[in-house]
Amino acid sequence: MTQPQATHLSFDISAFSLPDAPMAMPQQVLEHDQGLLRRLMALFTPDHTDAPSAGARM
Amino acid sequence: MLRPFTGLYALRSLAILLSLVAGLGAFWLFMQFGRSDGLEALDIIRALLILISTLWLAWGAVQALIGLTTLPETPPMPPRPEGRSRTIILMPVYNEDPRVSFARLAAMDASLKAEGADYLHFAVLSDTRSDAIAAEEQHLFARLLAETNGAKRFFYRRRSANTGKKAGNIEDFITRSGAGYDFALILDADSLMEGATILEMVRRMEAEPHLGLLQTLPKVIRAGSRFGRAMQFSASFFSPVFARGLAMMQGQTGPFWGHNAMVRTRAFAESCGLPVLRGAPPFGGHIMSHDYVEAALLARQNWIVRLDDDLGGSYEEGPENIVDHAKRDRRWCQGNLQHSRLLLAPGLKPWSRFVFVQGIMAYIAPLFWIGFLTASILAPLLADPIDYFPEPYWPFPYFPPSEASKAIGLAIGIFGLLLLPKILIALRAALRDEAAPFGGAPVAFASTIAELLFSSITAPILLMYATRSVFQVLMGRDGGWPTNNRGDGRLSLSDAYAASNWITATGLIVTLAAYLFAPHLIFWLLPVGLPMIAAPVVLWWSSQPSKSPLMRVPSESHPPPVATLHDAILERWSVPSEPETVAHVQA
Repeated sequence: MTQPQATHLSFDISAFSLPDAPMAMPQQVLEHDQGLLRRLMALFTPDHTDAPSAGARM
Repeated sequence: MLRPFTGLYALRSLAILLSLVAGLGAFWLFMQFGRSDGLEALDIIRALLILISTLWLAWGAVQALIGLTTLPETPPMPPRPEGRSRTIILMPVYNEDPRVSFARLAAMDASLKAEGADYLHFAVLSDTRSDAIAAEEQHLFARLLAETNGAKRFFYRRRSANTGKKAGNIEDFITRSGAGYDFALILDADSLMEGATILEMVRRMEAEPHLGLLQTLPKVIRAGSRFGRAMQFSASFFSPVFARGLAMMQGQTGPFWGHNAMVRTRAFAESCGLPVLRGAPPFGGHIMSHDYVEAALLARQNWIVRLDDDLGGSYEEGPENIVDHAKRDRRWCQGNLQHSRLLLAPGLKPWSRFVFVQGIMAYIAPLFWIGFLTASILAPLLADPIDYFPEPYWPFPYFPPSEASKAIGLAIGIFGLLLLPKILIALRAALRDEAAPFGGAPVAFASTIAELLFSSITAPILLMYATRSVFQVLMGRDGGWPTNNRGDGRLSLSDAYAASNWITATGLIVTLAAYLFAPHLIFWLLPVGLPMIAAPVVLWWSSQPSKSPLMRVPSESHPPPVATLHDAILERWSVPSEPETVAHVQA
């Protein structure tokens, strides 16, 4: 890689910043709220809700 | 009536079935071999390791065989689109040499203008941390603007914090400016694409409104070292066939390799906002190998992700030595292993999950081979002695039948899976008169043999680096985001020694252990042990410039026009710009 050269520019880089045209980029869901075991257990609960945690049962 | 994807599912099923047959065949042969002197637990473990390793090798071979049966085709495009959609070319940079990177943008702009397209926009998305390099970037951006007459078409922005690395960099662009563009061509700092190819991609995106991402197959160019040229030859001669096989099986869930690909900004924005995974790196935190995940997320939202391997004019540069290759691979290893967290992500297409599994397998497969070799060396130590007199009071010894032929058959089968696809690709190139750009059929065939020899010398070393990477990730070490080294990549012998002395030590221990505990295996292990012992020399030798007439590729005899343009611009830019030029830009 070449060494960066010293520069004495008064070049205003902000004049060439990106166009202002926002677009929403919603965050995607990639992880389940519950772990696999909890979700498997939920298959067998009466209303298919997440199985209660040990803490909740206590 | 057949369902539209019946053929696709049949092809995928056939590929998986053939791989399973090869893996189970290897398992059965090894069990026969192990049974000859009494089946031990270690024999079953070794047979299982052989099953997984062979399955993985066979999967690659089947992909090549499928690729060999078809040729790339241009997808149908009813009425010819104009290619005038609002398109921007994005080049994310991170502590790169701006002279080389920005000259690439100038070359692509010139190539587009030669096609009559002076309306595409370009953006440099800088994540550079060094203020000195950033100052150089801004200096050269002024020159880029002046030389391309690029005001209002060329943009530059530098992020104050590089949150989310490259994926975060692209996301920052989309949220700030995405609505201004229909399509965005995502590049790497070492990407080069012909203007005609870019315009054809725009037309293909216009022709298929459900196409969310269009990936090209970039060819490696400008390699100069022995290692670089071997990789370049492999990427140019073999990879298109493997990619064809992949393209045949991808359906609408194709790959994204992070660069030299065009996205529909709306599709990308609505599908690819990446969350930060729970927990700390390497498995938690920001998603490192974001490209595979983005492809899966686009497919999840029913956007088509497609690899069009018929498109030429797409180039990249590769590492010039094994150390740089291993550094890049360390990053990819961490990224792919992190995908294990996403295997059960909600709503993904089954093929996307399978792609994650393939990525993970690519990095853990060496562990199975190492496990097999270790178990084979230890087996004689742990085995019960052979009972030559199993019948009490019977005076004559019993010699168990030799099953060596099965072991040899198994070895031939495994080598066949490794070698056959490449040999067949060379034969097809000769038969179809496609070898001329590679120096003609004899040279292409000799190059294939040379590449096979070269890769069998370097494979044990790469296997050691990959294994170390996997262990580092499993132990929770984050590899970070090192800058790519681009340049001639020549290593000194002392640098090579410093980078690989642990491989030499491991090779010596393995070979000595084999000599002491399993001397009958020593000749089988030498092809692995010797390159490991000689790793520093292999690293040094392979990083030196190559003058061989072998491993020729088309881009060496006929450089791509855009690469010629890049060379000319780079030469011009080696002379410092005039202050007046900058003043002109400011005005």
